[in-house]
Amino acid sequence: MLKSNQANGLHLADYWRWLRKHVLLTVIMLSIGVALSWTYWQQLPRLYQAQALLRIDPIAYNQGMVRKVDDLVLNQTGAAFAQPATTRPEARIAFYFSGAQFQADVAQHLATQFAPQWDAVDAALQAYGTTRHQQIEQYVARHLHTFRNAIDGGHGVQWYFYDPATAQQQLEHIIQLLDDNLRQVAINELTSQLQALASSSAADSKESAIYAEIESVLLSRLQIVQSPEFSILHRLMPAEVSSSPRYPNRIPVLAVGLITWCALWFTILNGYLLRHAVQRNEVMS
Amino acid sequence: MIISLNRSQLARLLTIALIFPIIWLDSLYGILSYVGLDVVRVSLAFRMLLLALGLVLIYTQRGLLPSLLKSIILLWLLLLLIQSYPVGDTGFFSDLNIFLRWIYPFVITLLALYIYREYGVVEQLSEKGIAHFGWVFGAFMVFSFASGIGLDSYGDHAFGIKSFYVGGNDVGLAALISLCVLAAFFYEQLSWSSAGKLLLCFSGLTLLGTKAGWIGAAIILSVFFALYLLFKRSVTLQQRVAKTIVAIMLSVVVVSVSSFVHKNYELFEYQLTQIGQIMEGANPRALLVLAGERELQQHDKQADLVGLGERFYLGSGREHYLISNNSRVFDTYLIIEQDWYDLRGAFGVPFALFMSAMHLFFWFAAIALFFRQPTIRHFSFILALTIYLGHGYAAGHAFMGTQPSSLVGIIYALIVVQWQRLRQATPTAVQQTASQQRSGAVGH
Repeated sequence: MLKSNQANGLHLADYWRWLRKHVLLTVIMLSIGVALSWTYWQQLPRLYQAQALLRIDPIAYNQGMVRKVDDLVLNQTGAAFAQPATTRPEARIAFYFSGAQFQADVAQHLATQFAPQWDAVDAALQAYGTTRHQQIEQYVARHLHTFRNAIDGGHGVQWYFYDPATAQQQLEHIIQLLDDNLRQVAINELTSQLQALASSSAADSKESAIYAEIESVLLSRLQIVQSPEFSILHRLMPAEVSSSPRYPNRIPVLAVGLITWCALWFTILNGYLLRHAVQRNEVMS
Repeated sequence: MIISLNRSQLARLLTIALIFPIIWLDSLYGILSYVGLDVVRVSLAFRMLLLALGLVLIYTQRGLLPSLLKSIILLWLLLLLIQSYPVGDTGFFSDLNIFLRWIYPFVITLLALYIYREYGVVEQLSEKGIAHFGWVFGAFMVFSFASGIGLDSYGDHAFGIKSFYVGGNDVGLAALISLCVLAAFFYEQLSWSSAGKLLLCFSGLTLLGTKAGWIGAAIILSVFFALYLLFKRSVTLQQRVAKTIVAIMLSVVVVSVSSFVHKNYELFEYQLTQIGQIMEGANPRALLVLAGERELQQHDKQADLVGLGERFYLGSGREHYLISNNSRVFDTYLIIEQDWYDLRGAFGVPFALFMSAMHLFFWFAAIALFFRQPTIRHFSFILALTIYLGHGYAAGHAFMGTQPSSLVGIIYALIVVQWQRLRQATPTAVQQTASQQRSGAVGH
């Protein structure tokens, strides 16, 4: 038979007795917990959320500006079970959007375009790293959120900043940057196709008429992509910004602060009461 | 009317209350959900009650386990606080939900140990409770298969039903743990009752149609039948006949199942293809792990130390649906379904090591126990815990699944009880007990 541990253990009544004996201390400790949590929540900077909904322009897709299958996506999912929906163009865009390279591009772009705004929030940025470059890269990694929905081919883009107007402007820049990058990818692809076509046509002079036709299609595509009016992305919803701060979350932050304080205090009290119970048992025996 | 119970009766009553209702309440919740009354969360209420009682024990009991649990609660809260800085985007309530699931097996262990310590050890009843889960689950599965009432595991494209159980993987893993104990009962005492219960549980796992269920059940039954046929001592004519019948029936079942599967390959193609891929070394959660890795790569080294909390699961959801079809809204909370990744991503490597070490400690204790007292029961504990840990690290649903964790918590308590008994006994007594148990294990 196992030895009973209750002699050295506690009852809830032990806590209750202690609390009744030390009401004032309990109230003070609870008040300190509430005050500390509130102060912590108060000193966290306010972040506003800007978001937009966009998708690949169907015209761009139908005109062959965006490939159906992406090698990058296929290579990234080489596991045996991976059967992703890579034949849809939005998968490629989403992958590009969430990639480390695009985040680095965004960080660099925003660092140069919004330098005064970053300077204004220098104190808040200190938590993200030591150098400004590192701070903005980490900030972008944490606060640029993109979501994909396969049903409507849409992408949700969310971005956060310390004032609403800048958040909205920065999001516009991010979307424009994505569009520019995607267009550059399309231009590179078309250029490489034209180069491949040139070498093929040089080797095979019999089919020159067909090659010329393909070349004219590729050239017209290239012209469209290079045109300033052309956009690969189509806005389903313009960039909108929240009127009140999205973060910090008041209730969860206060709950975490207060519960951590109470748990710490309760654990110390538990240790004290257990030691007290041992001493009491020793005296009784 | 006053009902007075003695300590032994109380021990039995409390043990029954702790273990036996789990499967019935889960079945009841499933039935209520099936008829559209899923707001009546009876099984959740029962688990919350157990957690509340467990928390009381954590802060009133002395010992290693309460101290470890107090430490892990403090560590978790500290990590949450660190994660909330500098943005305040902590998802406290979803993190709390997942953390309570992680400590749930140890809370059950604490409750069981408290009952054993205060009212008396009821080992056999506890083991029957673990076995009870499996055959009741099997009975519901067979009922659904026969009547057509219940849920499908994979829809129309693959074989498998999950009766009224919402989480197919969770209930399947719990049934595998139960199957280990049922197989040990069958080994110890061959009877119509033990054979019937074993068959029910096995049928349930087969009908469930999950890869883990099939692989796990095949491993458990192969191991136990091999042990039975090779090591079980048959002295009387009746025992020899019984052993021969078991061997013949086993051969018939294996041949019939192989033939049926071969003839109806299309019905089982989904599972068999995936099992083949797993055998070749494919990761059953490859896509989810990829999503989790991509999310972790976007953060600095601090993410490895303290984790990302809810942000890890939301980020993994975003990354997963870059490559997979997302039929939901944009914000998607997605767990990786590999316990190591879930622990590490949410609360960092130290926390993941702490939680894993607690489980591994009991696994090693079970192995050591078997070497001290090599009985079939102790072997069944090792096998059950190996499957639990293996499933957790390969396909999740273990540390987080409250159904398997309920049973594993009881096994942990039984291991502690056995060890405490061994430590209290004199060396001579230990040798005697070991020799008795050894003869009991192989001597029928």
